[in-house]
This record gives sequence, structure tokens and C-alpha cells, in this order.
Amino acid sequence: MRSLDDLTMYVYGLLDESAELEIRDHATRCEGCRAQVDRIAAEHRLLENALRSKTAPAAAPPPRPEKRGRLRR
Amino acid sequence: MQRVNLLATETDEDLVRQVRLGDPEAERLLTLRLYPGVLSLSSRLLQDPEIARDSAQEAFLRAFTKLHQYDDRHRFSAWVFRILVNLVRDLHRRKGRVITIELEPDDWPCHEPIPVDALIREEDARRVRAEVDRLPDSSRVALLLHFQQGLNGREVAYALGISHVAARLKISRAVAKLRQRMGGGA
Repeated sequence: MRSLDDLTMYVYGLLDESAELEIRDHATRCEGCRAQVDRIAAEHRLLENALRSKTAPAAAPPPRPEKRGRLRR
Repeated sequence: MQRVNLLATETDEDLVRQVRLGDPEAERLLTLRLYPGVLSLSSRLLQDPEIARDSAQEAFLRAFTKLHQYDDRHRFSAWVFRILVNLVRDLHRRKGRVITIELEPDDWPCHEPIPVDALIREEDARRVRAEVDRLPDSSRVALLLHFQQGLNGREVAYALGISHVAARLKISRAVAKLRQRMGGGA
């Protein structure tokens, strides 16, 4: 079994390509890791749904560069 | 008023190349495309909606005036978020702790159908948002860049000005903390 941390970084797409391929290969042979990957993927979807960006109001577009003021201090 | 096609097939990076050639319409299109996401993150990180708007606008202004410093191995949105994060850090330093606000789903109009899955899980989603807002600033920003703005590990690292390894650690530790608080463990 791989560690929860490794599997998390794999599912979240945070690993380098070689490490990602290594874990993918392992998960095809390890039933426990496959089940854990499924649970982490569900968790990722939950976080993504909870935190994903909402569309800003179309009525408040950014002003053109020449009309923008400097950030108020 | 001239209308722009936000669904144009050019990627953000194609438009950056046009901006570099002096095309003001490409700059406008890029700004319109990315502004909702930048304003959304700015609003979550800053308490005052007006300061959040000013910061979002300032991020774009600096992104284009310092375009020569943009590393185009990363998505252009990561460059704008990097500038925004630095602006928020500056505000944080000047004014003390930046308090985040909780954006309820109804705060922004959404033009897509709400998936059934999201309805079932809305209660979980509220709890997740509340727990994320309790995380330390740097962990919260890393999570929001990844989950809210869809940046990958390298792009989060670029936006935060830290190494890829450090960004990975920040995200995985923040997730571990969320699991602990929400009684999970994957």
C-alpha cells in the first residue's frame, strides 16, 4: 500500500510525471490502493464543488486600463 | 459598445502573444475572460468588496504593465493570481490580518444547471467552505488556487512564489487538516 499522502498527491495531480506513472502502475495491481484512490477522487470532487469559482456579475466589468485608478492605500 | 467574443478559440496564451504585439483588443478580451475568477478569489481573501475589486483591477494593471516579467511556461492566469496574492500580502502587512468572507452560492449568479450531486452535497460543501476559511492564510490561498481556480501544483507554486515541492506540501497538509476537522481520512 502507498501512503495516503502519496495517493492524495497522485489524485490531485500534484506529482511529477515519473512519480505519477509509478503510482498509476502500482494502483493497477493493488486493490487497496485502487479503493483508496476512488475515495480520494470523491473527496477531490467534493472540495472542487464546494470551492469552485462562481461567475462574477456581468454588470461589473473591469474598467479599461487607462481608466483604472491605483489601488487605494 | 463593441462586443467581444469570450468564446473565441484563442487560448489565453495566444492572446498574450497578441498583447505583446500591441493588440489592445486582445488585452481587453483576456481581462474580461479572467476577471470573474480573479475577483472571486480577491473577494474570498479580502473583507471589503471595494478593496477586493480595486485589488483585482490592480492585479490586471500590473500583469500587463509587467508583462515582460511573465514566465510563459505557466498559464497567464497563474501570473495574474501571483500578482493578486502579492497585493493581498501587502495589504495584509499594512493592515494586519486579512479576514476572509464566506461567499454563499447565491452571491454570484450562476448560469449553469445545478447538478443533482451538488444539491445532495450542499450541506457538506458549506461545511468545507467554513473549514477552509479557518485554515491559515497561506494554506487557504493554495487550496483556493487549486480547487477554485483550477491551477495545478506548478502553477500554484508560481502564483505563490514558492517551489513546486513546497506548494505540494501546502496543499496536502491543508487537505490533511481538513480531513482531521471533518472526521475523514479518505
